[in-house]
Amino acid sequence: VQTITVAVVDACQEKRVQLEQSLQQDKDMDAIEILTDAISGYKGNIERRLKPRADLTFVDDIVARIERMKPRILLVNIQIQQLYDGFCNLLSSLRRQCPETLVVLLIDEKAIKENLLLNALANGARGFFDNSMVNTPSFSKMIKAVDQGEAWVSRKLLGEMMNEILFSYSMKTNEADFDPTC
Amino acid sequence: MRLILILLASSNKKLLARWEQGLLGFSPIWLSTNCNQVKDKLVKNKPEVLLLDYDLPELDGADGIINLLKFNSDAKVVIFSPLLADEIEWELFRMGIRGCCRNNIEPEQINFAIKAIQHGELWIRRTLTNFMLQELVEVTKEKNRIEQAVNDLLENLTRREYEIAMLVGCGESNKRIASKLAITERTVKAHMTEIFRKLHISDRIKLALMMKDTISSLNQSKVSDYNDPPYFI
Repeated sequence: VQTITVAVVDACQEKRVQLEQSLQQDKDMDAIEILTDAISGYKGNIERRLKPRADLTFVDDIVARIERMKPRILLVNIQIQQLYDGFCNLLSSLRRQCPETLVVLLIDEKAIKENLLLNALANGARGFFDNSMVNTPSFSKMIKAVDQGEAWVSRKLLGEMMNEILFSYSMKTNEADFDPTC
Repeated sequence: MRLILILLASSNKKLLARWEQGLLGFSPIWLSTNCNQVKDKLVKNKPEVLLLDYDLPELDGADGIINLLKFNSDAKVVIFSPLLADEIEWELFRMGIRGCCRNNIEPEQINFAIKAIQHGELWIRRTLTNFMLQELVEVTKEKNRIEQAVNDLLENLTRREYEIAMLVGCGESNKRIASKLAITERTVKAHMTEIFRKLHISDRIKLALMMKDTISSLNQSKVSDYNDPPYFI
């Protein structure tokens, strides 16, 4: 069985390490390997990490690290307010520059509105997983499904995605005669 | 329990028996055994759900399904078929069907499928969701490309022309625009001519559609003003 490599991104360094550790100890995680940034260490480098670098935006920084680590799946632990525009830049940059890496957002499902989730999917996220379910058998099931190319979203959200796609088709028909790029 | 109007379209007795088993508790249910009957009942009975046998006589595959959808675009269509290639099945969803099941699906699953699609869900194989994700990303990229091109064109407008274009996007008439901006209707018309020329469009409806998107994205950006935090990997 081929190992599925997984990396974690979190706005909070401590949370990220906790999550990595809990995943590494998980018995259901056969054939799944958690990648950590060996160069970064943890406490020793935190100050350096917090230091703003004029030549590198946070998106560039993450993309550069992911390009180096090349995980198959990237888990992004995200808070509700981070799902707005700036965050979608990260998703679309990852999609462009690390197309082999599939991004899954770890969220608090009850607290996040559907349109934000839809926006994240439209920008390249492959699915969502509830934070509270991380240490359950569904987690490894999700990793394996996403690795196979499947989306990890509810049937309800699949319905919304399809509505969005069909709406775009209808708009395309309406707009075809004044598309300024044609 | 709310009644769901269901139309069954098949001439396959085995399949119909399976459907009936799965549909216990649902009513009223109509039956059509050929394509013409289906079209007729889609118009007259306006079913909410259509269970459609992919091998219905004279249906003619995907083309026939598109044709049927035109007779009642509100009906939620669930196709029953033998195993189809992923690409063919995805194409059916792109046409607007809401579910696809194998012919040998368990009767209780049919019941679940209908309830799910009635709640706005999609009854689709998980392996097809990859197509859906790719398509969603593509249509979004295309939408953003057009939005960007529209924005580039809008930059050519003067402040006054932009103001007038926005009011057209809100559905205002020339008379109302004139009154709001304290100018004459004739001046509004002159501005409109210049707006059409700069945006390469020929009429007001196209302008309104164009501006509608701009207005909605402006409204969205008002609530999404957020600074990104640093991330750690």
